[in-house]
Amino acid sequence: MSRFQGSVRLRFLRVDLTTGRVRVERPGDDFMRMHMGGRNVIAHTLLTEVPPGSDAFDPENRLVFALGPITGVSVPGGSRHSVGAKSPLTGLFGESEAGGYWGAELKRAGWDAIIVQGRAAHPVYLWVHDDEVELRDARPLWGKLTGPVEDRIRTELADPQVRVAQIGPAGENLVRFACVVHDLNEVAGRTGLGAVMGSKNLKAIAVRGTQPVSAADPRAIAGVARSVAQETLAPGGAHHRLHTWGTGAMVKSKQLEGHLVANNFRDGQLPGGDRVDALAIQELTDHEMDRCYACSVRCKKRVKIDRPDLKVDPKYGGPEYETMAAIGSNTGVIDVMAVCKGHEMLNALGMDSISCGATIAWAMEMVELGLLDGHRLNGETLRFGSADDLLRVIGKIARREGVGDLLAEGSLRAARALGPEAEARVVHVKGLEVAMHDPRAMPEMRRNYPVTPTGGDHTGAAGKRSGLRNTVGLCHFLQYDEATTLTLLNAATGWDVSPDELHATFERGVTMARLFNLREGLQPEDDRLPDRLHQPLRHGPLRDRRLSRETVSDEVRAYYRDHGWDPTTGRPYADTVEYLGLASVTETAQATEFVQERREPLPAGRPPYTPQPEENGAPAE
Amino acid sequence: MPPPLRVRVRPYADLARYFPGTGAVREVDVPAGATVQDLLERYGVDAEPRLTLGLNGELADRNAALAAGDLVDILVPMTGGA
Repeated sequence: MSRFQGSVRLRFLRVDLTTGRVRVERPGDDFMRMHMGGRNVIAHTLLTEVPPGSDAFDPENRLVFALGPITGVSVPGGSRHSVGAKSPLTGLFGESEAGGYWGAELKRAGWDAIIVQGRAAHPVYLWVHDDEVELRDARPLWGKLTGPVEDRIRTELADPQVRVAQIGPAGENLVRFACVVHDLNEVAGRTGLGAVMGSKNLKAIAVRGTQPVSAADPRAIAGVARSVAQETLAPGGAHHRLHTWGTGAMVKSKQLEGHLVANNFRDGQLPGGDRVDALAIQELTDHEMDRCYACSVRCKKRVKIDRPDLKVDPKYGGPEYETMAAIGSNTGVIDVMAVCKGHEMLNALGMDSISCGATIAWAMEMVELGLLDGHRLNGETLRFGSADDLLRVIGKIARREGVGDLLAEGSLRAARALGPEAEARVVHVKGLEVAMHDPRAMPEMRRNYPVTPTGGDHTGAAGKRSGLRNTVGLCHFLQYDEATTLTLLNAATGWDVSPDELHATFERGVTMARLFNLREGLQPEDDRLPDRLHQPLRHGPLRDRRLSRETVSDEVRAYYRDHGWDPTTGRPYADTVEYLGLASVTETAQATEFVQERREPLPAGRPPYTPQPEENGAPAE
Repeated sequence: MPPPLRVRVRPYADLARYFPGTGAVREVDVPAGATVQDLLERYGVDAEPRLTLGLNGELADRNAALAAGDLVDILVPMTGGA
């Protein structure tokens, strides 16, 4: 029996690493109903607490682990939580999400969020066991890979069920695309949040909870869960392919259509590039499917390879599509076994596979062009298609050895050290390396990459469907329509949220993230695609296709308008801020100068943003 | 009546359920003069809402005529987006 009613705990855990103090904060039901969780709690915290212009590694930056109201509810997809901070890669709003079990465990421990500030005098880890919270010495863990660290923490705490979120050596070394690794295979990968955690000398957060998450309407929750389990897993069902192969099956379709991301986004086809595919992993490795908390879809791979010359430990999971393409075809590597090894290394070292692979691919092109050579390479070889080069440099980046020290800065900062020719070839949005779906072929990516608050992210987080899922704690891959999402939310919490209220929650999240970005220096011209993605592909059926800058800028202006922002400046209108209840937040955040008056008055009774249907396309992988 | 054409199909993942036999590549017969679309209809794969098709390693048009020994790849597009 839980002492909590419904799925929201109404408790945040505040941790000040500088003073070593921890305290309980009670945000109240009104606040939680207004912001719900995830992205919105992160955006609110960053806006109101991080001093304008702070460096991402300043102790004043906040690192926020925020659950959603559905996180921990016993329903497929209810495992997700968000991690956020000011990003060391972009200098802007940083947010990334993870599944697995850690978020559900934190909810069972009785918390909706952990907000970390300050910097510890030496490496520590946080131990949260229901109401008992303790900072413990992590000096013996510093420098260790994630697998051994998880083992040691569980041994030290004498509980094999403890769930661990942690950084690897990359986060300790402030690699700007270091990630936060949960359960060894569930990473909050994007925007360098692991480096923020490293800058705070926080090695890990270990969690154990004993308070079941009781939904307000368990029968409604069970009905949805049963429907997913029984009806959609059969061949032809909504989740059957994910259930059977996970992400990254049928990479050959991209190859045939000519938009396989290859050789730093120059080529849409790569001979053998489609061999790095989930079907091949299933065929060639000792492989099984695993699941996140309460999920019958079970789309997570666990890959074991035990050859004399190559071993891959299944405890680190297996590569999803983004990893396959980022360290596979985009670096010209077509050896699926090497890609599985690279995935294991990335999770053990704690680095985002997308940014790491994209940075390596960019560096390989720089070597080809002679823009990266001599003392900067420091004897390293970086050749497209070389699995040996790939795996070696992954380790060097995490440890900042040789050329790895330059690449650990991310591709944009590294390029600026080499000059404008190098910078012109970086495939990024706002400093975040673009994910492995080519916007020259995929309109949904073309519309999302320029305006997603975190930069070149593929999950559609600028849009209502994914933006809301990052807020309520629901997996993008579950094919729930908006009505089902609303059913789950209300059944979990006992609230009576309407479709309009849910929409306003999404708008509140993107508008707060926008205000944060504007305050931190974002300009409308940053909402764009990089030069490379306006250039034609060199090979394949799409080689004659051009993506014009006008198309992108028109869509960006339309996005501004749809969200109640000025179509020229991208600044939220005052009536939008007022309507969303964000006026006082904006004032506290010293962001009022980034709000402007609407030129034409809004017709009475109309919301300041455009009602949008939920984009309910296939999930990004 | 001209003899049927024997072509090879490579249905990916669960699309294999539409075709008789086992193995990654399967031999099937279609009438002489058949197109890729005819093949899809004959085996019911055209019920899938979206398909990506290859013919001898290149992106295929559904109206392309088949020849004996052709290899037809049948996939669903790997999509992305919100």
